[in-house]
Amino acid sequence: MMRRSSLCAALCLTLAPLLADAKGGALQHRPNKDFRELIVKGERPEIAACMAAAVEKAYRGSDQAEMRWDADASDHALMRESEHQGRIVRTVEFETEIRSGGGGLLAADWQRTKVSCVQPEDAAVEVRFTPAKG
Amino acid sequence: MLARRFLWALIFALPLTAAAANIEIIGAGASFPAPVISAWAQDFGRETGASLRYLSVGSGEGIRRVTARTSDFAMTDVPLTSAELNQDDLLQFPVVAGAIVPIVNIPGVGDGALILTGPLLADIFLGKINSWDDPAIAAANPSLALPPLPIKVVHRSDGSGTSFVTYYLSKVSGEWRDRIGIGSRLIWPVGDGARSNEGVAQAVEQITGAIGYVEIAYAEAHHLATARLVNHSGHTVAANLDSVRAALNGARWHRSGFYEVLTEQEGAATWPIVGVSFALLHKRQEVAADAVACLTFMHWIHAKGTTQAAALHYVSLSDPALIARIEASWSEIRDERGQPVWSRK
Repeated sequence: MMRRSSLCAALCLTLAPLLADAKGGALQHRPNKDFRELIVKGERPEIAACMAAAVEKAYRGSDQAEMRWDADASDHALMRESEHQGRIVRTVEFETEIRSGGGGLLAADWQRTKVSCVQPEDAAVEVRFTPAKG
Repeated sequence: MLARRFLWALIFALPLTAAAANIEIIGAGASFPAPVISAWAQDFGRETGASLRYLSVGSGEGIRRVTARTSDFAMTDVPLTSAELNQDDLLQFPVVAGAIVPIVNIPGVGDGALILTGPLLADIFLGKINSWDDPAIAAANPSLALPPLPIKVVHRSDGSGTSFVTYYLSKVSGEWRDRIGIGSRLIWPVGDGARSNEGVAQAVEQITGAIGYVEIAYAEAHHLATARLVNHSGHTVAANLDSVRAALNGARWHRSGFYEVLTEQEGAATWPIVGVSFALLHKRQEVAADAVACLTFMHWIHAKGTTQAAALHYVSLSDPALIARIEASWSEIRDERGQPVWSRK
């Protein structure tokens, strides 16, 4: 039979991510969203591949990070295109929040993070995370 | 044997009507090609009995709907890269091109009288030039007496129709490229938003000192003054079918998904802001008859759409080699058993 303290700890661990997210009403918590889901949700199509790759990198990374972003993050995203040796290279930047530790009581604080993607026209998206300024 | 030959001859001789009759096709997406797609749909429907509805909801929403499989095809102004197409198993090909033109409402300035360079247009949309008598505009228009009138920028507010302009501005202005970028919808630094080409045309018509951008048919319909632009080769050009064709003729279409953006193309006669709308269809089709009807419509556009397009100030594709490549790519569209749905030669 589970003792009361263990039950409380389990409950806290379960509810912690929900409680942590409750303060940020304008933030969208989007776990495990793929390209198709992001598009169906209404994100800018030209930004969605970067968003999906960023989520993949954060969740599959060694520290099992979580990611969330503002509802208008893709509207504020910056997309550029250049051509190198006949190949189109698309770069996308947007801001998000990332925390390591996989949620729960052991999770770190959310860190404002700049996501930078480099998307050659015929290759996989390369994602880089850097601390956001300001 | 003869019977089999007769059967195959009959199948390949089937008129367009057979593939499309009694089927309702739903397309959704970019507002830019909406007038011509709707006109084509009417002609196609009269000829074949098919019903085709095109919903002008913006490129992003069109992609959303085709991805969610709530429309049979989408039209987008922002072409997807091959990596993006592969993520949702989509086929992409170009359908129609047309000119996006700056429109102005400046007392005493008639159609085609104002000349703008790319950097000037970018600085106006960035809010760095905010009066029509700015020395930089005067230098490009020495014969015009421009009034000391505030510039009022009008842009699209509906997540549509903006892509071509932002591709262009990103090519002609490093500041636009690094601060604002390219996109189907984005945050404009200055100005007021108006919904659709019609809304922008109406706003510019009503606001003295306004500048906006629309598909050329809307400028003509509202008798608005358009600006001429200095193109990539340094020539001052007006937007018309010939200058759009010049840009289209310079396209190579060599990338996967026919990815091509026709802004700032080289050539003395090219209009620098030419929009191309691309069709998107799923490569895997649950209802083969719907896919066949869509492709029959696209094939009909290639065969019979040119005159109607020109009447509405659009340019449809006419290069037989390009059309053959596009229709060959349709073999990638398969039914649930993996069989190609399109076999017309």
